[in-house]
Amino acid sequence: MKKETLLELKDLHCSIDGKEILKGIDLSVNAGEVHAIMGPNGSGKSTLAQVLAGREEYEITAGDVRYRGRDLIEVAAEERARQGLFLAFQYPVEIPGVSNAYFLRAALNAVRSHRGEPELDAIDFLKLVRERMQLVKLDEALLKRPVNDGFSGGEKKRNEIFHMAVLEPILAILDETDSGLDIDALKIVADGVNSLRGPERAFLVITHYQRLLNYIVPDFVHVLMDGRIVRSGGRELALHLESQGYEWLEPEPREAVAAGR
Amino acid sequence: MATATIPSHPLLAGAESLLDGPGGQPGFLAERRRQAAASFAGLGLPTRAWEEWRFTGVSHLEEAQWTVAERAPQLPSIDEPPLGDANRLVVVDGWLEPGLSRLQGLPDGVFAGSLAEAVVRRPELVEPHLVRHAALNDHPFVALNAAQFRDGVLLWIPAGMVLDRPIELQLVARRHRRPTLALPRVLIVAGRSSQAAVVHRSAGGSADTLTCSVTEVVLEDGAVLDHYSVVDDDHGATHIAALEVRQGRDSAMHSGVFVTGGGLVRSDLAVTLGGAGAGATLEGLYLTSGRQHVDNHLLVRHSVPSCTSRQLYKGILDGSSRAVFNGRIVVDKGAQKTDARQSNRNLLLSPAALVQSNPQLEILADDVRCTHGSTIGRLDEDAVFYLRSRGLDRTSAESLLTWAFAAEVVEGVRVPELRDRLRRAVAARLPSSQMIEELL
Repeated sequence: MKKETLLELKDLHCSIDGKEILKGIDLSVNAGEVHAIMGPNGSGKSTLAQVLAGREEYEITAGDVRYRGRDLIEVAAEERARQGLFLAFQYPVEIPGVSNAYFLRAALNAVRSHRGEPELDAIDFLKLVRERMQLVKLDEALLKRPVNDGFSGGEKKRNEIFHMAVLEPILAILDETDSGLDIDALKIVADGVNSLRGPERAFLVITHYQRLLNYIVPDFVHVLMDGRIVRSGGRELALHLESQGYEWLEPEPREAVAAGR
Repeated sequence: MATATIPSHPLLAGAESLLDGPGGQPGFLAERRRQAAASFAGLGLPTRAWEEWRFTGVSHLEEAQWTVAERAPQLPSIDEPPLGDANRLVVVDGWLEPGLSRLQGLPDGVFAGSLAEAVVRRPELVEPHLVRHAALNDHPFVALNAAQFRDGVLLWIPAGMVLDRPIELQLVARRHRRPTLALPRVLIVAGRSSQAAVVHRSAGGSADTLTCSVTEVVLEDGAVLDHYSVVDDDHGATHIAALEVRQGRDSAMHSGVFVTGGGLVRSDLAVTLGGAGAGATLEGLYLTSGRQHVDNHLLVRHSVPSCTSRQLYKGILDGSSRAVFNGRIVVDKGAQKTDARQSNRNLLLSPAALVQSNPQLEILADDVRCTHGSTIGRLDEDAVFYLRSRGLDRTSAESLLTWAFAAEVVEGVRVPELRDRLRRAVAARLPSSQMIEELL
């Protein structure tokens, strides 16, 4: 049986404040797959994550974004979330005064109501949340604390994966979830992600380092440089990048690209 | 007593009669009233040319013929239920009304009642403090109150006493057909090593109401006092409030000023840290909308070494409302090891809202730590996006973040029933109020 194509990007161009960041991206992600997007700083990785999650500050100047066969470009961020798209933030936002549990429950109920499911009552919610916290070995005390407020760097990242585990997205985008984590925290995050892998779900793992991919083994690796995917391959591509760096992949001169078309 | 001469001023019309009024007012008060009247007549109402009144105009007060409120012939009903099991004193138009008050189980030795009565019957409690602490010389409304207040509240807590239930002072302004001046006066004396919580709430009034309230607070050595002031008057009313605090050695004051109502509200809070080891935490939140104007003036004076002060005032402004924050920290010569911090943060929900935030430091000692910061801004779009990317719509996300902004101050309130009430007051202002209420 053919796997569903969850995400399809065609020649995606995107700008902010008149500056073009993404310069024509093609990418296809099927259900059950894990794609890694690697690249040096400033290559457009985080922009891609934000654009896919629906950040309105970025202007899509050309190209197509389709999610489960439907045009995504005009869909609001909250609607994307309700349709099963999830972004684990590189820099999770602190929200003093709002408990982690409350926020997560509001988010979960928004998603459930979109799916036509009833809201979870407090007891069922707590049961679910406790179970999913185990996945990332997060202290239950963090449920009552304000969202990300006073969390350590590692707790913030684990909290993102915990949110993901509760919201059960169809397509999850992890934006540099590994940055700033020590090896123990990295393993916990990776275990959490791996336990959520399944035939119905896909992951887009954005990272600067190959290290994470030792623990979340991708099906495909893409290298993003200067707003374009310059190379795609299997897991071995990531290993090669680890030993060789990105220099050997310097983007082809513009003239050459133009001539090749 | 010799006939007093009160200078002529429309706002002082009733002052003369108070000097030798019935009830046998003691001489100390008559003398102070006379000084106050002279001070007010000399100062007149402030104009925008005055540094401290630059952003708050009161010229509309000049146009009306104000009469000091008489005691209400019929008691109004109070719609706000008491705070939990708090002891409650109700002051209507500046007059304490025992019929509306509820005092049960106050320990012996505490005086909680009419200030006018205390002046006559317990002058020894009043004399050392009344019209002593609030500055008459530069704040005309403080002088106006001193010259003419009829009644109010004395709360006197003896040394060593710990009151486990809060005391609620409910100030009510009735609606009047002609311009009416209410002059509630409150004196709180917290004896050595005593502990208490006071919630001071004002409500009511109309466009024809000028409430000019003065509260003097004395914390003797080692006293701990939580004092919350909630201004929730009618949106047409003018309320000018002054709170003057004197702190002794190792005393701790926790103050919260919450302005949710009132048309024009001016609140002056002045704290003098006059004994080593004293600490003051001064927090405030103003929620304004429409054409409200709220001015908070703070003065913290460190006059001796090793005292601590914290100021955190936050504002959420909507509509074409205006807010002024003026926070002054004065560190006197010799007040070494002072630790003073001040922060004023404002959230603008509307492009027509405006804030003037002016921190001022005057430091005459050299071994001190003083910080201040002030921000005026809108909701953080990164945060809005974060919430939306988890499935919350924009309105809910903005409401939640606005709540979060207020929560830092609201959650610091140490009287649980008041905290709960303030949470609901903030939630009610937000577009997604139901969602926020579920959060509480």
